Amino acid sequence: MAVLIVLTCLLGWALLSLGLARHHIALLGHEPALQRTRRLRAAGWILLALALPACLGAYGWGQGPIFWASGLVLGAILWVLLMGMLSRS
Amino acid sequence: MKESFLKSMAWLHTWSGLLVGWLLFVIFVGGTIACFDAELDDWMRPALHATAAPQTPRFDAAFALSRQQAPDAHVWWAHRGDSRDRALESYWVLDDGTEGQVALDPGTGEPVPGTAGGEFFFTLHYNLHAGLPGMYLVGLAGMLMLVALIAGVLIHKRIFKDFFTFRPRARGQRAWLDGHNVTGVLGLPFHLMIAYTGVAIFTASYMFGGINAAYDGSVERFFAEAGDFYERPETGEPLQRLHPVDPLVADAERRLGVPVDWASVHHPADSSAVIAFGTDHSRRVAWDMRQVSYDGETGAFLHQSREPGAGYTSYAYLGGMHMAQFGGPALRWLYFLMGVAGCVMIASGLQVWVRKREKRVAQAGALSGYGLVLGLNVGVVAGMPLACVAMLLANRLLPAALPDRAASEVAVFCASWILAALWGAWRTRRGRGWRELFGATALGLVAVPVVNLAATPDSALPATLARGELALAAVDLTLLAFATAFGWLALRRPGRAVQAELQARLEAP
Amino acid sequence: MAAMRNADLHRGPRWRHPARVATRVAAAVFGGYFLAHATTAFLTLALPLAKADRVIFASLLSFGVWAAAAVYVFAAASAWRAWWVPVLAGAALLGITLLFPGLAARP
Repeated sequence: MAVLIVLTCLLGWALLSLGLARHHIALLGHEPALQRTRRLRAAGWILLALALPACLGAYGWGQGPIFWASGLVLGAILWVLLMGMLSRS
Repeated sequence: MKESFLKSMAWLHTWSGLLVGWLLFVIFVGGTIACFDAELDDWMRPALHATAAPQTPRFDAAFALSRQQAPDAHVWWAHRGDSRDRALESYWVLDDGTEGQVALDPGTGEPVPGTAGGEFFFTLHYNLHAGLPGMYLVGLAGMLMLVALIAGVLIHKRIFKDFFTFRPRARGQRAWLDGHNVTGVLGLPFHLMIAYTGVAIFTASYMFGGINAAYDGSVERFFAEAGDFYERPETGEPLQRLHPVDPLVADAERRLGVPVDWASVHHPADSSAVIAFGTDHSRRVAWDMRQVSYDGETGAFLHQSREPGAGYTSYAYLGGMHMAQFGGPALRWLYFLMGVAGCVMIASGLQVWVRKREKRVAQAGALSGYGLVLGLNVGVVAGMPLACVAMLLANRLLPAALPDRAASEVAVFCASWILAALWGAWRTRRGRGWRELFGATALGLVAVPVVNLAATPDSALPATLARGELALAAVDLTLLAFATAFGWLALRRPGRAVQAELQARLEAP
Repeated sequence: MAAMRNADLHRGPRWRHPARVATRVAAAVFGGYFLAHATTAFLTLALPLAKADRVIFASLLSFGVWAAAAVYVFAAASAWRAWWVPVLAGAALLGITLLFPGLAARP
């Protein structure tokens, strides 16, 4: 379950960063359309937000927020490392 | 005005960070490893790997040993074996503060070969093995880390555009700074939480204003009211006979509503002796500090802690957040990985400081303040992991019958660190210090599972995986993973273009 | 702000002279601690909670006060302010607390 949380956050951060023109270009080679960036960013935020109720459900009110915060942190760090390796620049 | 504010915060961030950087690195490495201190305790006692912890604890066996070793102790304490660490542990503290401990086979009650264990890293983490002054030093480091983090946030508020940037193939200085920013910024929730909660655990040792105002300075009365811990004065009469402890466990568990994890006997030689039981902190975030107390002679029930108030529960929640005893292996892994990120943040921060001043460093030479920083960077950041690895090797290689075996393991740790630091400082003058120490660490990390297989095959990789002892196997596998990481660190080279540029910058007027 | 490069930040604030740095450090450590201590005492008086709870929450918050004071000391426009702002604030809070000892020690 914890692995799933981290992966969900990883995906969420990935979508968010693809919603930034600079990173979209670095990863996919071309500039994104405006609507696409909005959709990507919305999807990213939604994934990150959904991870919280998932954690609360799996771990309760006391432990849940801690698992969520940890997922956000590790997901972000892992995404940045991944992005560094995948970037074309 | 704003510009000078940013400059002030940048200065504060740099210097508060540098001042405690090395200390903080040691504390962070110790703490990160200590996420799995119980699992390491277990791994470092191969003699017990064929045994499982029994369902019912054998506290009396542990106390029989305590009576042998320390009949006049201030307190005896016994910890039952559990799923993380199967040994039955017997501790005692004498009136003058000296401590002793022995690990026992949970089934037979017989002592097993001693080890410094994972607990070595936990103690290193919170007091550097230096008692009360060490604890205050750690607390001070924690406060400075908080200040450095806050100053860092105040600078970074303006630089959020660089949020997702990390360029590992870029110029040397840029890569270190990016590494520092990535682990620092993205890990910020963790770092802030761990720094604040770490300092908050020792609140009572630092903040006396409230205790002075409300309890006229009496810390004892404050603790008694806040935590409801039972105590009674010594009578001076000798205890005739200690009531057997194990039969009381069932009653204690019924009263507490949870399984008992530890037992203690306070002033066991005195007729005022009190037997107490408590539980572990694995069920929820806030520490479960409740105790049940019984008369040492008659076994009569004396006292049960009431549920703590809002204040103490909050304190226990903060402390619990720091110590990661809840949430099972999943939470411990999450903290471990974030802890590694913290170690990277600190180490890369120290490197940024050096790299930003590399011209002045090169000109100043080895016997200067800059030389000291360079030497300490290598000695601490590259030396400490090597010392940890050496200690694990010693754990498998030192003879089982060696007296004071735990102390010998610690001696190996200290000696390797000193040697590694000296080697690193000397070899850094030729630019080879980091590579060689990281390379040696990588080799050592590979050696541990190999030596494990040679010395104690039943505790080593193919066997532990086959038996389903995943925690034991995980230690070896994690060491191999770190071997890869340290190997990469030892072998990576910046591109030729980068090297040429670095050389040109050093030679420029 | 975008024009501000990393290099500019690290040329340092105006008061890099060692003696001035020492003053600020002392103000952060001692002045800051004094303010934290005084805040703990004052909150022990002021918070609407039971005695043990007041002491605990007040003490837990005081680390934040110490850290904030340290940041203020280094951001302050002058060494004078770096000293007298936390010390005066601390003295005021401590003074108020000492005026009501019974209230501070109420159950």
